[in-house]
Amino acid sequence: MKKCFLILLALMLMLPTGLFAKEELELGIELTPIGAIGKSSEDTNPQDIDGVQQEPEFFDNWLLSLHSAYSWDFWYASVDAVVMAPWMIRDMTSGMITDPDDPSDEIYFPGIYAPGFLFFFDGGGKIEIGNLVGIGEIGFNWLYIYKGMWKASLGTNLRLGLRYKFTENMSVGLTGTAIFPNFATMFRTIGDSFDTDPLVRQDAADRMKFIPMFAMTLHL
Amino acid sequence: MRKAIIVIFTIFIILGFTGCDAMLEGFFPEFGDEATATLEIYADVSNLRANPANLTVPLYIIIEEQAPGTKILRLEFKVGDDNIQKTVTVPRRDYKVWAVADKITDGDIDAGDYSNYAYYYDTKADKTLDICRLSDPDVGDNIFVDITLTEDTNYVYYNRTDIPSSN
Repeated sequence: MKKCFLILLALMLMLPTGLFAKEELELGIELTPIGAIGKSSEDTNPQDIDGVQQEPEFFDNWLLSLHSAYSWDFWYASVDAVVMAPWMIRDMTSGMITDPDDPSDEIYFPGIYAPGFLFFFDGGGKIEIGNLVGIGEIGFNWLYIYKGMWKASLGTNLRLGLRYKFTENMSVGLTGTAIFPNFATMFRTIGDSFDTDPLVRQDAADRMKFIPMFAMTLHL
Repeated sequence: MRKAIIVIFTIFIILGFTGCDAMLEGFFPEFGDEATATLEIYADVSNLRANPANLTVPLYIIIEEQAPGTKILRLEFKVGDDNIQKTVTVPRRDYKVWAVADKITDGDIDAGDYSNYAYYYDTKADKTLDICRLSDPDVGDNIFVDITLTEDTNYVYYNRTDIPSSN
């Protein structure tokens, strides 16, 4: 509680310093090589009936995220939509499920093969120092599968970003997104990452895997 | 100015939600193509032998559309038939075809029974012998299901499917 008060006080003192971004709208795209999530194009690109590997397409190699955000003073709110290729949705939705005909048994559910969006709804803060823009935010995730086949809340996220504005209206940078099952786990992991015990800090680091995204953003 | 930005931002989000499917079809055109393909499914049962010979054999051809659902065809034939044929129209997109049969008994299967065999990795999947994945099927593509009967188990099995080119 004391820490929170000190942080808020520091933010209020910084208000007149010009460190905070002016009011602006952001639109952009973010790209992540699928290697960053432990996949290769051989995993994502199925073989045809003769066992021949098909030519990989864009979404076999990259994750694309559509970014929109609004910032005023210190505050920052964003909505990001990660385009989920069919193979990703199938990976996420396949697995053993309870047999509807025999609840004591389990059967394999092959998953849904359809594209979708994974939305990040986030809020946080943004600071500008010269041409550098720093962003930190938390929020929740929401999954939408094509034709509304499945809509579900899907955990929470912590996002940290650093961007370089090379013109008044454009920036490039890197965003890291860590996914957690819920807010309690997220806050506990963040707290553990500042623990005095190095083992606890290491454990927190292991749990907090950031997925890197290369960001290109338009500032309006 | 702030109000204008909030309004634009809100419109953007609403458009984003309502246009989700259109955007996904833009990224993955195979899901936006409303054209359909006609598949003809043949089951050659001329080599089938069973005792007694007049049993009815239920055969399920399960066409699992990758989106948005699954079609299940039930073809029924008797030992001694030359072949059976079924034509089905499916959306032009990737899908899997499963050929599933139950033990030859009285020819009747409860509605839920097939689900035990429809899952490729199910422990009972030895009854689901063949699976083929078609990419971008063309009108006129055929799926041939050759059927043989193993004498020791009295199960109907489906061997290799053949998909001749429509060209």
